[in-house]
Amino acid sequence: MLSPERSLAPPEPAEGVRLSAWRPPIADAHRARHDRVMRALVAAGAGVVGLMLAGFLGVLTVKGLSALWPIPPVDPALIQAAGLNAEEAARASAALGGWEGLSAGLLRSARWAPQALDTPSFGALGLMGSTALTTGLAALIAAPLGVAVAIYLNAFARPFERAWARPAIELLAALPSVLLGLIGVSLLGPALARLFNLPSGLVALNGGLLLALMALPTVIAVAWEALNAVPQTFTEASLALGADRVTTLWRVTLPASWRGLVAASLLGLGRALGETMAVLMACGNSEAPPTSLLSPAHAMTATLALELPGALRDSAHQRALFALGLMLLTISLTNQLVARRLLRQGAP
Amino acid sequence: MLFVPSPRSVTLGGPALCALALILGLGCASGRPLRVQGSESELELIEGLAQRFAEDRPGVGVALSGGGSAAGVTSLIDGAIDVATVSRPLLPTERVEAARRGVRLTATPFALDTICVVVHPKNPVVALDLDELGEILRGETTRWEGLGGAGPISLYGRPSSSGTWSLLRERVVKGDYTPSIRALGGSAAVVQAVAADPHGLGYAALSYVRHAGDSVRVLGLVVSPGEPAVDPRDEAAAREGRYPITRALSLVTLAEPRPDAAALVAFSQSETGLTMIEQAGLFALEASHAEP
Repeated sequence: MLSPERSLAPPEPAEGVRLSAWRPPIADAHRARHDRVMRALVAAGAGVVGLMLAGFLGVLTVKGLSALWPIPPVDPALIQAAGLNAEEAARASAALGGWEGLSAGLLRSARWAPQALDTPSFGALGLMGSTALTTGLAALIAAPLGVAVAIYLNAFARPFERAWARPAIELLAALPSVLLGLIGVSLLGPALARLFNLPSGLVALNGGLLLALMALPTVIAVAWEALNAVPQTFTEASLALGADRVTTLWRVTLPASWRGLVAASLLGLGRALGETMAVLMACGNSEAPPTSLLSPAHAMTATLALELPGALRDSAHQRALFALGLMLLTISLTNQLVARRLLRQGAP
Repeated sequence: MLFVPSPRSVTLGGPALCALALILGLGCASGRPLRVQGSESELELIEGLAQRFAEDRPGVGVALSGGGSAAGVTSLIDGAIDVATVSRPLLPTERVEAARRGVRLTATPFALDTICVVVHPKNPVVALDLDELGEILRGETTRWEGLGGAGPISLYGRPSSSGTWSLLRERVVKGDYTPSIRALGGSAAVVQAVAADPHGLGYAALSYVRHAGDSVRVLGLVVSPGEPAVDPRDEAAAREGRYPITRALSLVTLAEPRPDAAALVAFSQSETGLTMIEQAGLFALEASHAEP
C-alpha cells in the first residue's frame, strides 16, 4: 500500500488553499511519467511484433494463394526489348507466362520440374510425400522413445539423473541443424549405405533419423511436464493400495496424462516438419518422388531453401514455392493448435 | 571487414546467411556494405577476392552469400544486392524480367572455369564422350556396363538455381535431367558424395575438384568420336575452347553500379585479382578476352 503522503490522490485541501493549485509531489510525477513511458515502449514493442506476425501471415497467404491465379502471357514488347532470338523467346514465354493457375497441378501431380525445358511442372505430391515420409518416420521413432525417457525421468530416475537430464535435453535441442546435417552426410550416410548396401546414404531414412534426433528433446520435455502434472496424491494413493510402480504407471499415471503425451508427440512432429538444413543435406533431394525409405527424398522445406532464392519474382515457379510455404504453414499451425488444445484439456 | 558464410558445403541457406551477413556488415562498416550474392561454384574465389578488396579499403564492408547464380541475378534485379556472381550466361527469362523491371545489367567475365565430371577412383572408366554423358544425365543410360564399368550409375548434381546446372543442360544434356539425379547444395557436397559412392557420377566446378585431390577421378571428355579425351584441368584446352563445358565466371552489376561495386569489378581484373584467380586453380581472363 502507498503511504498517504506518497499517494497520487490529492490530499485534503488545507485551509485557504485552492484545490486546482495542487500538483503531485515531484517524485510521484516523475514516477507516473516513467511508468507511462515504459508502458508505451513495451506496448510499442508488442505492437511491432504483432504487426510483423500479421504482415508475415498476410504476405505468405497472398503470395501462396497467387498460385491459383492465372499468369498472363509475356508482353512481346518485353521479349523484343530483351533482345531474344526465336528459340530463347519461346523458352522465356513458356517459363514466364500463359499459366492458367497452378492449383490443379500442385495437388494432383507428383512431377516437380520447375525449370524443365518445354513443360515446367509444379506437382507437389512428391515433395509432400517426402516430407510425410521423413517427418512420419521421425515421429514414429521420437514419440515412443521420448515418452519412454520422460516416464523414466518421472517415475524411476534418481535425483541426480533428473538434475542432469534437463540441461542435457536443452543441449540436444540447441544443436544447430547444420551440424546434424553434417553428421548425416559424413557419419550416418556412409553407415546406412554399408548397412543396406546402397550406392549412397543420402536417402529418406537418413533424414528421418536426423529429424527424430531433433524432435526428441521437444517430445521428452513436454511429455515429462505432462507426467509431472499428474498430482502426487494419485500415485501415492495407488501405491498405498498396494499397486506396484508399473501398475501405477499403467493404471494411474498414463491414463491421467495421455493427452499431454500425445501433445508432446505432435509438438515433436511439428519440430521435424519445419526442419530444413538437415533434410536438405541428408536426403539427396532428387526430383523423382521417393518410393521407399531407402530412396532419396526432396522435402518441402529443402525445396524452398534450394529454389526460392533463384526464383524470379511473381514467376510461376516463385508462386508455386509460396504455395508450398503456405501448405507447410497450414499443416504446422493445425498441428500446433491440436497439440495446444490437448495440453489445455489434459491439464488437471 | 568481411563477413563470409561458414563452411562452403552448407552455404546454401542463402537468405538467412545473407541477412546475418548484412546485419553484421551494417554494424561494423561505416557505409552500407557491398552486397555480393550468387554462384556457389565461385564462392570460394570471390570470398578471397572480396577479403583482399576490403583489406585495402578501410570502411568498406562486403557481405557475401551463395544460393546459386539464379539467386544472384534475381536479387540483383530486385535491387537487394549490388554484385551478382554468375557462372553462366544470363537466361532468357532473366533478360525478360530485367527488361520488365527496367533494369539494365552488365556482365564482366573475369575467370575461366571448367565443369568437371567426376567418378569414384575405383571406377575403371577414365573418359566419356559427350553423347554418352548426355544419355547418362538424361537417364537414358542407367548402368556402367556399356561404358567400361559395372553396376548401376548413381547421379549427383546441383539444384536448378545453380549456374553449373543450367550450363551443363545447355551444352550437354540438351533436354531435361533425369529426375533421379540428386541435387546437392554445392560442388563440395557433390565431390564428397561421389568420393563415397563407387557407382557415383557427379559434376562440379574445377576449383572444388582440385581441392578433392585423389578422392575422386576427373573424367576426360571426348567431343567427337575418334578424337582424344580432353581433361578439364588442361589450361590450353579450356582457353582454346576444346573442353566442351568451359565457361566464363562473371560479375554482374547494374549498368550504372555504385562506385564500390565498380571498384570490385575492376579489382577482379587487376594484377592482384588475376594472381588470386590463378592461385585458386582457375584460369584468369583479362578484360580484352571477355566473351559477351
